[in-house]
Amino acid sequence: MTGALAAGLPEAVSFFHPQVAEAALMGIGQELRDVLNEETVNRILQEALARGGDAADVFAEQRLRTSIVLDAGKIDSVSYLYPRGAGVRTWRRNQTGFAFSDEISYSSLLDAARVASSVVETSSPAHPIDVSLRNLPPPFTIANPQPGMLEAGKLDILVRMDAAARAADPRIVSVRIEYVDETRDILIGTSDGVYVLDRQYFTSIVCSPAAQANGKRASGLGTLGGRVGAEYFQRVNPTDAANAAALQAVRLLDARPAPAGPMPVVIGPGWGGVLIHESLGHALEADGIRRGTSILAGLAGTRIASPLVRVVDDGRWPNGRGSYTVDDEGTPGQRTVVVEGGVLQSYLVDKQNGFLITQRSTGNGRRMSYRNWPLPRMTNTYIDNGTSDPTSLLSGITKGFYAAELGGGSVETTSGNFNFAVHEGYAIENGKLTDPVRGAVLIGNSLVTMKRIEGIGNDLVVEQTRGMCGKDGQLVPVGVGQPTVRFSTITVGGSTL
Amino acid sequence: MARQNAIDLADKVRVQAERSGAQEAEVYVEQSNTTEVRIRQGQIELLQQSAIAGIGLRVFRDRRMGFLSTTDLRDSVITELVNRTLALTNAATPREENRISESLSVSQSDLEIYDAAVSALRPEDLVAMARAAENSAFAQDKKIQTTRDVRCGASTLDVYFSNTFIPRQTYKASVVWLAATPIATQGTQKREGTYIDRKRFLSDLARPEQIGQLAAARALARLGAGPTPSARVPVIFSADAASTFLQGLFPAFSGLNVIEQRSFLTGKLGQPIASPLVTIFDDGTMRRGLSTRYFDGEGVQTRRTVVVDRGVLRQFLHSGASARRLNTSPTGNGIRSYDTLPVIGPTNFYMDAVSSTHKLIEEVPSGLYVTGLAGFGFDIVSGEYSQQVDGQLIDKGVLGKAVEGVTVGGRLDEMLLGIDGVGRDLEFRNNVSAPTIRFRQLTVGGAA
Repeated sequence: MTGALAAGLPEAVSFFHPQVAEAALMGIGQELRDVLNEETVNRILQEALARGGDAADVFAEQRLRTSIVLDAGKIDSVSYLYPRGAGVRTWRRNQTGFAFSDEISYSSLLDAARVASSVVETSSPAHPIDVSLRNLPPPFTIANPQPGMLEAGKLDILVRMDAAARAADPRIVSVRIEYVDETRDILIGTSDGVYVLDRQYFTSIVCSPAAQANGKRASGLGTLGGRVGAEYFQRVNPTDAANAAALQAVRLLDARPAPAGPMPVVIGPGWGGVLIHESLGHALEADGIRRGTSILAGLAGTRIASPLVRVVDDGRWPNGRGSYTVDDEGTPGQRTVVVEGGVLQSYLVDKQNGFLITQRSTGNGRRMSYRNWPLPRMTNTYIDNGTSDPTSLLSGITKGFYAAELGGGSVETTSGNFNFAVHEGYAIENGKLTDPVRGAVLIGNSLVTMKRIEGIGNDLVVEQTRGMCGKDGQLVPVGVGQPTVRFSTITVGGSTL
Repeated sequence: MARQNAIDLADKVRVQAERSGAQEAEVYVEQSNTTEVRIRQGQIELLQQSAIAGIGLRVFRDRRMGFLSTTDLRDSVITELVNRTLALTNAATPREENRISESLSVSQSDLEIYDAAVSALRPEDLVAMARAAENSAFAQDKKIQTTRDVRCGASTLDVYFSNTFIPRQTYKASVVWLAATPIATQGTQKREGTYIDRKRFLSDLARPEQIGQLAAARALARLGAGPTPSARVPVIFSADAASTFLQGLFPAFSGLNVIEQRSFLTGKLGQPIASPLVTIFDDGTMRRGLSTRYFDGEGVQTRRTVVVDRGVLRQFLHSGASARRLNTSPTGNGIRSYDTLPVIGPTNFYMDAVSSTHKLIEEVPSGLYVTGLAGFGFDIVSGEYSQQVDGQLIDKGVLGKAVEGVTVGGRLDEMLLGIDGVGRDLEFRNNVSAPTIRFRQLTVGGAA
């Protein structure tokens, strides 16, 4: 395994500008900096505030994404994506003007600034702007970023995963593997004086085998990655993930249909954190709080979950998919305890909504790309460890449902109604896991479901290998996590009564 | 801020790839201009204007395929990217299906996908439309005092395509949309309702007052909702819910998923897979259709495909690559943007209306009328389905109490065969559309 990696150099770093590879933090985004230095950023921000406004920002970005797809045993496609551009935002209270350009030039960004400023019409005089470089400590360092691995090494990982999945069982009829890695350079200048540059790495491998036997079909899922480097692939063997995904598909061939209706439910650790992401996470985001449309608006300081529950949003979790040195509006990523002892402690706050609810940004202002304005978003959100032995959480349940592996979920924050899909489940009978059960959706309500937590395990896992969160058309990678959690009752949406 | 140079550059990039070692090359360029406003309580919350120009290049060498896309149109960058992509292409596996279209005859008739009146909309026009929709929502009922927002936008798109064999092809398209999401409040309960209209032509868009009114009615209908007991009962999906359902079902009709045995419909071609009431089309040539285009993302002329004919599965949908693997013709479903490879996707994919005299709701003694579906409930591989829903109870043929906090579930093959009613109310407000449909029986998961 490590053989393919040994030659890996941070090639992406030297892709266009070899000198950047030698530079330290000051050199990151050098090419962006050539055009958008402190002086030009000051002038663009002044233009953005020429008609007034509370604040403005410039956000420039360039990404290099390598994407490889293996399907039907062959390398299907190999791609490079290189999007590059910058956006300008002006806001005054709840009003936002935003424009971007695919071209990073002083004149195109001055144009963007004029468009952005057109949303406000006040006579307040523009104040001088003087941004200065902030040198922020990264939450963790990556010695050999994965994008730097030579292409041959990346291909080798995929080919060996494909072989491992197919070798796992003769009933595996199809395997698709998608590999993506990315280097994202960002530059942010804000009217409150921040000028910051950052480089973010991201890697994702998704392995989807399908099994077939006796006219039945089932799929498995194995994922790898996070904000990782070559050292990750020395710890984690990709073929193990492929093998496990294949065996999951085979297990599900014989799974019986899921039951429908309310029943005791236990959700397994790690990716089970989709639950907290949907049940409370989105409703804690400051835009819905500011508008008063979130079901959790006005509930700070009140009990919204079982006293056993502590929820953390940690933008500095090591190698987390949602981790960063700095968010997309220039605020350092941070760890925020949002629920403690079941009581709501903090919302997830960006600059503009924070201004409107008079709270400081918690470093949760994120954007999908330079073509989008920032929204308050989660980073890595998890239910913290409890004290129970995970296996003890099954005892006393005569008939219930164990969610071993979840799918996606969604929530409507106005009503608090949420759902999340289970990909692999098990029946609980008399305190023990019995037959595998096919997928079903589970549903709940933000103000009800989290109060029904009866026990929390001590086996916390924060998942870094999967999770793309969509909101308002913007997709960003997020981490979710939890230990094993037991609920007195959740409605299961199976197909049998 | 629009730049015309992406289209000017396209042929140059393709020729450069061919000179650098690509045996075949294809370039796909998109330039779009979009303005969107969002209104809340009469005030502008967001004004966004964007101009996108991006280029996508596929290169082929010895039946190996590589792809690049960028918005950075500087010569030096494109040269570097082309060379690196060609090098990377050597790592791909040769596949017989890796070819490009060799000819393209584009429809000479006007498919009516561009309306100059949409391009001419100014931000203040969009603001006025959004305000009218919001005011109309407020006027419906005192319980509507706020909105999440009302969004109104207009976009125009220029597509450019050429490859080693097919010279320059272009088309221009427009779309305008208006979406209102008022919030109804009763005591501490808040429920939102959304109504969206999207059209190619401004004159086809529903009046803002009507959109506000319909959205308000949806929010109001949800007040007081609660769960209903678990049961196996007849379930009706409203046209909007049925459209969402059909969208979730689409991947089952993808030729690639069928070939790779990732669809529960694998092996069912020519067989009845749904009730005889069900006919499904994919029509990339529908006049004014939201996903109508002259050619798809790989230079294949679009067409009208009968996918399901009175319950019988007639045709899977294909890109060039999946069609070649089955020795059949592509169906013009290679859908892409400049920054993605073509993947099999819907054009205008719809279930046809049935002009029966059946009264779908009136005939149900006891059941559930579903108006909203949420979440990820489709397992296309195994054919299992369950989703969170809301709607209203049906009692003796009449809509009653509002329902939420319940699920519906079933096996997709049984569900499709068990459709016992299809409505007349097909509307095209999305590129995937269906009329009201009634399932004979689904499992509802709710209260004990």
